[in-house]
Amino acid sequence: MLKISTRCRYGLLAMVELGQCYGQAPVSAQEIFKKQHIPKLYLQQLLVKLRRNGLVESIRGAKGGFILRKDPKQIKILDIVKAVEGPVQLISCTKQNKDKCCSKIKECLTRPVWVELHEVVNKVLNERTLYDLMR
Amino acid sequence: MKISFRGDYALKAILDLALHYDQGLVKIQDIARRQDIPLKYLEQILLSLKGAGYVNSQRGAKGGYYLAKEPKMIKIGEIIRFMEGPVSPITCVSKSCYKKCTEEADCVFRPIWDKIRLMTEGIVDKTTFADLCRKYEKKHHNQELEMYYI
Repeated sequence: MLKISTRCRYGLLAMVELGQCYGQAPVSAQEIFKKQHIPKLYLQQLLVKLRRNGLVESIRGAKGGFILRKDPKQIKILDIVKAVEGPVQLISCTKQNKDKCCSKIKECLTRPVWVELHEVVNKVLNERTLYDLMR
Repeated sequence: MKISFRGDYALKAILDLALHYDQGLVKIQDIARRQDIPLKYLEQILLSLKGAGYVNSQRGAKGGYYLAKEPKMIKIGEIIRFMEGPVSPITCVSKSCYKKCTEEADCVFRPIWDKIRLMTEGIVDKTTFADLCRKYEKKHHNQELEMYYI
């Protein structure tokens, strides 16, 4: 039904690594790669997504690398999952996604069930921050 | 993270039959029309559900499908698992398809996945088709009232 992808796990691992060095010098992709054993190319793709979604910042130069843009306490796990994987939704016809709703939405028998599951999953991911993962 | 049409259609088909429980046979064409499910696809789905003992059918001109169990005896989790596979988000917290992971003991993510599994199971293993029928009828009733007032 609902599956946590490798991409999602790797994205979280990379963020935990950056979280542990928050407030310190930038961390290079090489260091993350060494510590968390994420395939290099995969990691680079993930870092691009995390940067585009405003979670990390890249700093150029010899001592460059990646840093978090926000305090780990302010980054929700849901933000990270959304950044690497897109919205967490079991169905496309959620409240946030009105244009994807079909015309039978009012009579739909099963939508309430999926919406309930969707909300539970999002709640769990939204209640916890990156900081919770670092302890 | 998606529910497939297969799972969604199976739930709709059972719920349609549950709403017509004790009212005789339901024609497959009627389910297809009411629930907006392609007929050919619905045939396959009902065949699987019949194989698993959830529905029965009767042939002939006046034939059709009916629920093999009472709506209150079927949990939605059973149908979701049967059509979609395990509800656990990942194998390391699954009960039915558990796979050991070497990093289990100090994995920081595992408690989160486990929480998602628990909460998901809390919904799907608690809700029966009788509950969904009640919810549907209540909603339907309210909608009718709303129309009356407008």
